[in-house]
Amino acid sequence: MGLIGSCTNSSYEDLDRAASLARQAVAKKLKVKSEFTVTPGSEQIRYTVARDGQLRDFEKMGGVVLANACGPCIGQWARHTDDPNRANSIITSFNRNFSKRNDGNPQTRAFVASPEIVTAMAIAGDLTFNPLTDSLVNEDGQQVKLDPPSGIELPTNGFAVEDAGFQPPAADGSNVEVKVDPTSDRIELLTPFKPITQEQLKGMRLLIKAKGKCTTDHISMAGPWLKYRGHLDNISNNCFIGAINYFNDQANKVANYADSDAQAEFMAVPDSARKYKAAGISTVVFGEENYGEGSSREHAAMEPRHLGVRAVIVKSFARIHETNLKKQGMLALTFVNPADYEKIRQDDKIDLLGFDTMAPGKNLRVALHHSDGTTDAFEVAHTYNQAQIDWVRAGSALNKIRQELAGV
Amino acid sequence: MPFDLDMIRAVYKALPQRVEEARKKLGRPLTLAEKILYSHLHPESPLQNYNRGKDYVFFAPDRVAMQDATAQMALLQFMTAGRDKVAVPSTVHCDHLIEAEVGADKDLSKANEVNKEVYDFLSSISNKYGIGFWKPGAGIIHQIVLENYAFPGGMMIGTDSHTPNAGGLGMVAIGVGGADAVDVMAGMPWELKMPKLIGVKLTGKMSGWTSSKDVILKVVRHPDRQRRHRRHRGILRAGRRVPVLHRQRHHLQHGRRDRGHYFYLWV
Repeated sequence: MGLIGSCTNSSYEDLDRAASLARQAVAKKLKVKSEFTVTPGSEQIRYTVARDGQLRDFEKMGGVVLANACGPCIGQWARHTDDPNRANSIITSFNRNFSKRNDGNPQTRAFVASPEIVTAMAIAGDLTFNPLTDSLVNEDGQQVKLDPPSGIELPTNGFAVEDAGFQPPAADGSNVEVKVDPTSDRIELLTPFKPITQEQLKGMRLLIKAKGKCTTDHISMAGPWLKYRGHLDNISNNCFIGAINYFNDQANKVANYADSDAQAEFMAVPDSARKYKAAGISTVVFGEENYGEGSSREHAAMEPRHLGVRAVIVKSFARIHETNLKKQGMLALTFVNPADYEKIRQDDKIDLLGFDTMAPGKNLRVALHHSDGTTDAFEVAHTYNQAQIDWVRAGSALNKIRQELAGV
Repeated sequence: MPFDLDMIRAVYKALPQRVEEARKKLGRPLTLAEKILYSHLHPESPLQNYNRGKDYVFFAPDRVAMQDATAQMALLQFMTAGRDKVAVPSTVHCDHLIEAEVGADKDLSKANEVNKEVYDFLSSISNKYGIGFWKPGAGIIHQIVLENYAFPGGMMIGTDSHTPNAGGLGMVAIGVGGADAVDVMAGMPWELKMPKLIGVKLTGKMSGWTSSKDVILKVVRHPDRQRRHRRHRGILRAGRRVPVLHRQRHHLQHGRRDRGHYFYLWV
């Protein structure tokens, strides 16, 4: 199967050169061996190549024109296949070639090439086809070769479009209502976060002591959850489900002490967070090195914030995630002595001291009250400057902006 | 007309002086990428010689583009900032939520049905806050940006990893997360590790079957690049324009902002 177009290869020249091969296939009576799709990058380019004939050339060779959208390039592809377990190859002019990217099938091998080569390979139906040297047998049984592709850079008659699909914003939007369906499970308006208080930082419980690597994917898993990325409460059901619990080496199974100080109840991390939140108990997350590396998605900071986590205390942060936590008005802290990570027990009651007088460069203090009556205490550092401390005091960076705009 | 001519004029008006100041401060000629970066410093980052791949710097991008998946949380957050309008020209593009199955028309009407609540939300919030809205079917964010918004010497961020496509028109265009878009739309500075640069000199001539995509695939596979920089690091072509190559414009990216790996090939 060959796929061309997408944002990567939708210039007029790309499509014109590929179409020159499609025309050759028809003229030389070659039966196209592979399926073939074309994804125009925009309505303007689609309209222009429809007017100038290239789109017809692709259709004549058996191609299917897909919507002007990302489609198969980002896995939005309901591919029809007779046997999903059969190893198969696709060749695309997109820019990713890893497993499962395009059709979600691990049996699909994806290769990346120019639109011209993709078209030639689709005509030949063979990845070993070398258009410079190899010939193909046509419907009359003759050996024919493909000539090198040719095309022009820009349309002779200029670009054209009937309806580009653009909606300009209202000049004055003050009376425009933002439409959110209250029954939607995909979009939910946000309620600004309330600032943390010193009182909330006493007697906190451990949500999870994450062991080893804890990336933003461990904190907020992608895949099917992306459906809920506009609905904070729903997507929070993936919060930390990929992180490994230090105490049992398992993912998504943590101890909860909301009902009883003595008796742990084991449950999924989001459930534990919600149970503590409902009981009015703040929670803390502990982690190791380079915590929060990976995709910069803000959900990895917003979900713990939404579920009542006040502080994330780790050996070291990935910088962007640390900043994201600060922006959401949370406490992103690091162990002064990384070995203190070992001191945290799963049934500890945890105090964070010094928040009231938090200032740039000044450490805070953690006190762990263990269930055997003993106590451990240690210092934790932070990198907040005064402006960032102001974000925390306001509840979030956006709260701070709102207050400033309102003249508070 | 979606084009923001006033903004582009303002950028070009300030550009020569800012580049001259940067050249003086650094005491050496600048690459194209450096000219763009140093002319887009945010007031919170004073003009000084920043270490590539090391120093964090605040920038002031000229525009923001968001695709429909990442735009949702970004705009929900933006709403809470209490602004009437976005601080810089911004657009939303409905391209990610359309599933390819049968063909353009049927797939598009199915998407309009399945994603109605998301599209209604994005359309109305864009309308309210001065954001250009590209409906489902209008096209893919990066192609629309090339056709309508990209301009040489500019700096933009986009909430999608293929944003550097706009680099094809000589701008610094970087893929970011939704939180970064919120910052810029809300008027906050945008933080980035000063990118590392690699120069690539292309010589020779292309045969009839090759395109610039082949050149890029070759550059990406270059053993020097793989060994020293693994897969992540963009590339900037140094030196003069190569006439045979300018006919197509391509991008190459996939950076890790945290590691200062960011540039792309301008062919």
